[in-house]
Amino acid sequence: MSTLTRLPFDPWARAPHLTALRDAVLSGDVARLSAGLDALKGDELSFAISILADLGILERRLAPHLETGHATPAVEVLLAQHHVVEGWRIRSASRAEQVSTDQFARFHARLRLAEGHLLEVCARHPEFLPAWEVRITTARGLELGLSEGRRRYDRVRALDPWCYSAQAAFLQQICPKWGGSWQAAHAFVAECRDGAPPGTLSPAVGVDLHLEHWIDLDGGRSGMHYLRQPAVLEDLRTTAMATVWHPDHVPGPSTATVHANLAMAFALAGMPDLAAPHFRALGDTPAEGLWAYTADSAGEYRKYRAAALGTEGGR
Amino acid sequence: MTTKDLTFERTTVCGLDALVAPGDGELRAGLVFRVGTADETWATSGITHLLAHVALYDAGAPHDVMDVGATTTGFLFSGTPGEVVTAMNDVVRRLREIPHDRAPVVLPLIAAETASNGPLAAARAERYGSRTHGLVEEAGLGQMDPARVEAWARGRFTRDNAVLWVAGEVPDGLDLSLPDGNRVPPPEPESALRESPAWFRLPGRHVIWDAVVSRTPALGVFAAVAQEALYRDLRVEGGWTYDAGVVDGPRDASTSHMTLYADAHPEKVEVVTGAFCEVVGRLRAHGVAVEDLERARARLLRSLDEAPGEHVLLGTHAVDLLLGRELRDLGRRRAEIRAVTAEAVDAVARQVWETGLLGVPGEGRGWAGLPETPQVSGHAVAGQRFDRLDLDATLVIGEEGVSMLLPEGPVTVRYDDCVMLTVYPDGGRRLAGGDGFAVPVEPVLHDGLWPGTVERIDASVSPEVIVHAPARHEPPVRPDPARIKQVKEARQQREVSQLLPVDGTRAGHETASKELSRRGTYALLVLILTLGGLLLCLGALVASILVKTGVLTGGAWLIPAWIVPAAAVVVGTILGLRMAEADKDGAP
Repeated sequence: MSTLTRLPFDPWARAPHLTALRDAVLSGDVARLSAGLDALKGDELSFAISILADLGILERRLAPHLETGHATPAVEVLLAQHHVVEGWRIRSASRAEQVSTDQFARFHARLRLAEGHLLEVCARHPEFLPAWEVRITTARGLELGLSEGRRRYDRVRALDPWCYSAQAAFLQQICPKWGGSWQAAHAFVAECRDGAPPGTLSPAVGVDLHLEHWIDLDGGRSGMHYLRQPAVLEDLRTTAMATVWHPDHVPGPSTATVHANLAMAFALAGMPDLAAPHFRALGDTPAEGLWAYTADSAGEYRKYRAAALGTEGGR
Repeated sequence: MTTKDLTFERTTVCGLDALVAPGDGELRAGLVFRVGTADETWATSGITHLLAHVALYDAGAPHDVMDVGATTTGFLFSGTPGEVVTAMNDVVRRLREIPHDRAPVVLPLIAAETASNGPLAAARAERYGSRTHGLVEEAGLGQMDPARVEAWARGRFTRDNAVLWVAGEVPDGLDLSLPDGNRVPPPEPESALRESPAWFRLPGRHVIWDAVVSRTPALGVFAAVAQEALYRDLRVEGGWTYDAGVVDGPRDASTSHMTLYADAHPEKVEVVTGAFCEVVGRLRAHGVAVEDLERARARLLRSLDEAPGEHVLLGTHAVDLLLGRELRDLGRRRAEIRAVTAEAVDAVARQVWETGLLGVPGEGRGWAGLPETPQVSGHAVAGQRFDRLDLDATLVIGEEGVSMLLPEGPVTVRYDDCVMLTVYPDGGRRLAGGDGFAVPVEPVLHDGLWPGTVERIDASVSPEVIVHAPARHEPPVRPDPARIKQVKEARQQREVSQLLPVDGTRAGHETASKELSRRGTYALLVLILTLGGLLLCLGALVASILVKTGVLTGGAWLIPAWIVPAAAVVVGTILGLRMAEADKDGAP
């Protein structure tokens, strides 16, 4: 077993094929970027948008080209997603009462920029799924309400009923922390599983929900007790079998996210044996997934991985 | 006087401009004046409405009505020629000899009508503040004295400021003798918005998009397209809305207000708002589809074709004549609609977007990516400061106006922009500004705010805007000591937290406290440096005098005795100035 680098969650390590797109952003080569994004589809496209959007320089490099009004929808969504990322960086992941008025103002200003772009993209290209997917998150940040979030998710669903990344984004909103309820969240998970073709990741949104329960209990011992319940463990096992371990599953960028979440759920339940295959599947280039919920995600990941794999894991 | 190329007659009756066309049944007639709520001021707002009610009260048949708009006021009559003549003559006589004793009877009727002011009124107030088209509250009704009403009638309800229209034969026996006057041009509207499009919170259950657009034939076509899109998306496909549509009306000769609206079930407010914004965004971004345009055109042409005759447009023509717009009969309207191009409709869509004011009934802070309309004035006056005892706010009374400093920013009313100063018998004041902002001045809610200071405000505004209100049902009372202490602590806490750059964490809080005490120490050192230097300079001066007069001997030591303290003063002053500059920029 090789060692993990000091920063285990480097999305670029999982996506060597996307470095050309990163270079296109860094050099402001919009034509190459557009062509590269247009060649991607589905989960690959959403993933590329999400990691490119994290590049701090993106706005400065792309904005001048976008003012001409000839950007492709993918590039427009990329810029919008960048605003969302920057906005959330300003807001931080703290609870609302710990976020200052000024932080909220600047957070909302960024999300408004994103929402304005996306309204236009959706008007021109209503079939472009990634735009609707990002709008699930802008709706949540701008507090546009559950029914509006649902409307946006429904637009995604009409285009792809089994889009795991969009389902995970909408689940955030219907959990109690953003004004929803556990009942609604469980009903949504049931809906995502009902009729899901074998091997799709849709049912894995249930794993996200279990981890939402865990964080709601402030992790720790009560969190562990929640995850250790036989029904929960059974659900995690069945979900793993129906998704990432299913023979019909076609691996994509979200596969790593689901592995990471399953590894986390089993590890925090105190079931290193069950977590181990997921850690192994992630290899040296894990996705962060909901490990981000832990105070020191890299450290925690290394610790639990070492425990599960019975090696040093990290350095 | 007649105009041959129109299918109605433009003539003069009893000295009034008149429009006449054959009717189709009982006689119908209207008397329209170029006066409305937009002509009033905040302190006189409601005066047109009051006068119109007083004039119509008891006159005419129960179905005769009056309509007070922003720029025109109309009386509409129907019946046999005899009934119409009697009613119209009655109204005109009452406009001439006003029965002031009717006012107390009609005031409750007006209050009830104003109370049912809908979303359109809210949009106008948001767009125009407390002037012209924003005057929707009729706030001046409490202090209408007969002299004011008389003067209003003499200036506005005149022969030259009116148009008569008749659908049928002009009946015999009309006596429309009104005083001479002028055709008053419509008011120049002034927007109170700092940017558009923008959104505002609209209580109730309607979501609206309010806009100002050029009065072109494409306006009607756009409205029909938008109406269909809203209905299809929100009602037919979404099933969230019962009523969705578009209303428009002239603002003056060249512009109209246009409002897209949809109602929402309380549980569906957000989804309706989202889908509504989608429609507006699509109309702007996408332009209008050819098939939608043609369907809208066909519908508009059909409604014109089905019109029983020119007489149905007489009321519209009367308003256009008063606003100074060219009159367009049915035939011309048909030709114009046939000629509307897709580009012209797209231009309306862009105007609708650019001038848009989105009224949102529910939650959310950035629908369609828009900023909120200003919640604070953005500038404050300088002057004497008085902290509020009941909330985290500070009143400033200055030479140019008053400000209320709130955590989110200052709200200011300048004396020269004050449209109404309400004076309460308990000593309280409320200043309303032309931009729609208001500042309360409540002596019992501040320490040290004496009657003399408050009366200085009264002397600073124009006497016409001062309104003496009746006693309040619940005048403010001084909060209890516990509350005062609580507010004081909250204010201090906020002042500390505002020094923080971004994070509101506990650690950041401590950093800010340290920063404050660091700054205090720094300021003290600068002060000691400057004052000490000055003191030593004084010593050197005395020493120099003593040397000069021969009391002290020697003198070589005098040069450093001057240079060292002088340098201290210079350095101290520079540091002090730089610190003040940094404070002003908000940099720590």
